[in-house]
Amino acid sequence: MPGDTPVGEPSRWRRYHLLALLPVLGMLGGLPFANRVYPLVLGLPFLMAWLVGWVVATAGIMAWILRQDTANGLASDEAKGKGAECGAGEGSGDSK
Amino acid sequence: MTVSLAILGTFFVIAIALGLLAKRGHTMTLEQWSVGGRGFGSLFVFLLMAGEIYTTFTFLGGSGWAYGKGAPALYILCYLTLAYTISYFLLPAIWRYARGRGLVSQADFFIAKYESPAMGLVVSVVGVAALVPYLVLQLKGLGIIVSEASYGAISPVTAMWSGTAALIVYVVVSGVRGSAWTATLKDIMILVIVVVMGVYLPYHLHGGYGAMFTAIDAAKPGFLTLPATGMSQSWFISTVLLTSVGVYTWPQFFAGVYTAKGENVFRKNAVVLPLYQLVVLFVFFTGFAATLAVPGLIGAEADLSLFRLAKMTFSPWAVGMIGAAGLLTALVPGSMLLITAATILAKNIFRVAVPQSSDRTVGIVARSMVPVLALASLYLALHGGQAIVALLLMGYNVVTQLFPALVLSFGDRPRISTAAALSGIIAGEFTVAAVSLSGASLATLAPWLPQIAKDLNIGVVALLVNIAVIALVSVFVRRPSR
Repeated sequence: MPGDTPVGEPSRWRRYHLLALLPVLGMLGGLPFANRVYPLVLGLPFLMAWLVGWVVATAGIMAWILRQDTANGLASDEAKGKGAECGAGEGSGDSK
Repeated sequence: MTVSLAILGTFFVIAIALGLLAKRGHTMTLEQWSVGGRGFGSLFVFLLMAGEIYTTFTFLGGSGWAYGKGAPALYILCYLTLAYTISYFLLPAIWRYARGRGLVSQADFFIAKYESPAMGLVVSVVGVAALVPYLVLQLKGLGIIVSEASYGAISPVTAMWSGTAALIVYVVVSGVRGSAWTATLKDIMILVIVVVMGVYLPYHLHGGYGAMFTAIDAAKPGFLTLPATGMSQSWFISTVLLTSVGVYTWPQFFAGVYTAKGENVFRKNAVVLPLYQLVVLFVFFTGFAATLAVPGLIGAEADLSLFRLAKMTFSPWAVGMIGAAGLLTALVPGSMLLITAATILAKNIFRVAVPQSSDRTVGIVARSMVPVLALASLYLALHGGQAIVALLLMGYNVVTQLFPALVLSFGDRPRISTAAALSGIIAGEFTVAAVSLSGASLATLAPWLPQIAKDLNIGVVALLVNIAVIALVSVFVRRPSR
């Protein structure tokens, strides 16, 4: 969770990670508005099309977050060389 | 009929053969058997993770719900998507912690985090309790698939027995490696079949999607939107939230996390899987096409709708192929579930009871638990009348109770005491049990509540009880200072 960083390890948390909340707000928060059949969108009932649209948007949002994380060195396979950190104490990698 | 049976049989043999081949070159220690020696590359991890999408649950249950309930079935699309966004942040953290500590099961994780063997026992029991309805669901699905695809030549009971026997052989022989190979075959087949059915049927029966949905809306007003009461928006939101946080509290997904070579695969999966699971839409299309074409399947029978429509429309060899794909969707996830449950029973329950037992003994116990678990689930599958989706939601209610303790365990050490975490889980499970056994819902327990609260998924209530108890106990029992 945010702000939860063991001493000595730089925070893995970035403000743009909050974008990951958008799908929740759009998909579920949008229900009162989107809960209708018409207009059909590409032949689908509006509700279905709305949810599908958010699924696609979610993939886009997560791709963008991954790009940012990669650029910031937050997304890598640290453990490519197996055993690099065997038996490491509680400090390693507990922040999210 | 003979054609479809022959196809079913062929694919069954292929699945077993792949399982045997996968075993070659690997000595089956418990770590190999249950987490593939932690050496799976991106593609295998992807396929194992994507396994949730193409189980009998979505294949039969998804189409069955679209057929019987309409729009509420769309919750499946939403909860999977949200689960993947959660996985982006959650899974690398779990993986990093598990690496180097030799963790094999989900309980191992909780034991290490809370430094408490008692925690491990409770988590193990919860895990197995949740896995059983999931296994029952797979066996039920197997029964439906084999009996429908054989045009009734094999009765559902015989089908369930032979399917269970197959599953046992398959799992005992090759463990999780068999799953990964067969998963590849399964995903390709199901992808093709589901898309073909979901495109062909609406056009064949109605001339297109727009025409199909217009016809459904005219015949069954309100079917394509969430109703005002019952499976309303409030049910939808609470169910999606509950199940999406619940996905990664399932012990088999925890174990799936351990199979990865590196952590970045989870982040990449979180980008790709939302799109990959859109294939579920085509399952819904098939279910919706069936609502007008094969009406009259009530309650749990709705799970049959996909096959009924297929038999009406396609030739026996096509039905055989659909059946074969369905067989694989039951075998692969079913084997994952069995492996996970058996590993928990052996490593986290048997080993705790008999601490001096050797690794070899624990491995043997794990494998001998496979038939025990499979037969117990078979018994329940033969004697319970619930629909597939209802079974899965029940499992979710049980397993999601681990979520608060999981999230609060992150950090350099857990944020709550073991006592608080344990009390929360136990209180949550008691709520789930009390409610499931009495068949109560918020509407019957508290008729004075506003409708929006009455429709909340009961699992959410159990989760709130869980969190309240954690908070209460935390007042008295602080986490140990270090």
